[in-house]
Amino acid sequence: MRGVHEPPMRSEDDLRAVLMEMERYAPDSGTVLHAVREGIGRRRGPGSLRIPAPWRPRSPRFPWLAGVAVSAALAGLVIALVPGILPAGHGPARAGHPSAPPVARSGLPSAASMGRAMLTAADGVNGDILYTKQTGFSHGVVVDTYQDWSWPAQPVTGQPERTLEVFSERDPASAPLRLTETDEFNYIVPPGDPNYVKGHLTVVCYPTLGSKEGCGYGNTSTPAGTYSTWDRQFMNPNPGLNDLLPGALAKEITNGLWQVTRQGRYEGQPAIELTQTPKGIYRPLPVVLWVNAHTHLPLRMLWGRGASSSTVVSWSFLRPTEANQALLNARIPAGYPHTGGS
Amino acid sequence: MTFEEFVTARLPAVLRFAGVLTGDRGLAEDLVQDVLIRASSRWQAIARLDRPEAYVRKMVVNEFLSWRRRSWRLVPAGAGGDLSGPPLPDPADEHAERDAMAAELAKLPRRQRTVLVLRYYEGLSDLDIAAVLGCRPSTVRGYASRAMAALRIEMAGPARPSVVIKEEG
Repeated sequence: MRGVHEPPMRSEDDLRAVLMEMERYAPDSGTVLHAVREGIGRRRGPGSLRIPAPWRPRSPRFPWLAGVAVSAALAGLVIALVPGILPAGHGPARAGHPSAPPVARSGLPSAASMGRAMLTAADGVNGDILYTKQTGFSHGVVVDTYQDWSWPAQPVTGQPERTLEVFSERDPASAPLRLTETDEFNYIVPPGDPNYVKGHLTVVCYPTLGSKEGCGYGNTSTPAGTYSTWDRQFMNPNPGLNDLLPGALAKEITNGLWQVTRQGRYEGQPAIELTQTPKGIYRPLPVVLWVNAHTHLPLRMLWGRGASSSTVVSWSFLRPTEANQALLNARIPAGYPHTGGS
Repeated sequence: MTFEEFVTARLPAVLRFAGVLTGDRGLAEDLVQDVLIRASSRWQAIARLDRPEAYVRKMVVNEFLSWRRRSWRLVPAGAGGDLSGPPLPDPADEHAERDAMAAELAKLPRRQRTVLVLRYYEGLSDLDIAAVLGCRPSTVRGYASRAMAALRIEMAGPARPSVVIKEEG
């Protein structure tokens, strides 16, 4: 039941209207054009806009930019050497289910056989706790992370699903990556793909940013430095197709949406590299996926290598031991008061 | 299309987009200036793309997402959203409600905010937004649902996947 002081829900049309209204923040085109012409003139010296010039980093204001190109060029090597983003201290990662995929003439398994092997492997970890970590990069530096635990890894209708998400953000650049919000949401998986599901939500809101007053999840409010618990209908945390689930990836590979490109080692594990170039109106960004060559479970995906904005996703599969199940509980920091709920 | 032709034809739309994305005229001005200056020096390559405007907008987004400017913790003018306090202003007062919503929008993490702008202002598909942000479409949906939950926005339509995967066989 909605509390007396809870604000009403808004619609997508409300959002569109607000965004349209924000066009008022558009700068004056004459001012911008003047500055652009001056800026181009400074960079190129005397001349006109028509004279092309090779691009160089603009100024030493952002000296780290010089390293970006080199970083991008070395990304493959770095990925092979950098320690993984496994949930340290969060229980043992599952060993997987070794099996040998058919080998194509080139020595690499075919995409179809890889996909089938991955599908079988995914079925084998349905009951595990799936841990994924998505790390967003801007110009090579981490800007945010989303750590998600969900159990079972691939739930079916009618099954209880436990999820925990931990969000960390860095802003501004000088600040360390800080814990921003934790949401624990437990619910029964409904039939179909509804937008909303009824369940139990716990929100822990950390006072990380100067301008931050609190956290909002659905029609709830949690002031910074507090936690709240709620029993009601919330947005489905897993709506529609989740293309990061191992089974979904396996189907993409089986259906020829990925190419098997090479074999190697990833964090000491034998790994198979697959690549994909999605289509869209923008210049395509390559996606690289590493799959364990023995277990056929996904290890890591890098989206947008070499681009200024990129994301790395890593997977771990944890046995549902008592200790690992405890990872699905939101941790309430000492001294955080309970400030709301229903 | 030359750089000048592009600027003449497309600058107003790019400026509006930057204004909506940043919620701050001065910052939008800085951002578009920087992007256009860089774009001009690479214009021969950009002009060969199918949609140069889309590429320039992508540059605008990337510039916005980089946190080089410390002042980009955005709080547009207007009533701030008091998450712990009394209810929002009278719903009949649309202006106050929109200001409040804009203020809450400004407090979202930048990627979440960017997803909402690209989806609800630009009308891009999740697949195209994923290409802009350098992430999976499912990640885009995750950003969107988190942002909409934070803004207390109710989704009207059914949840829809952006990538259709054919079943084997």
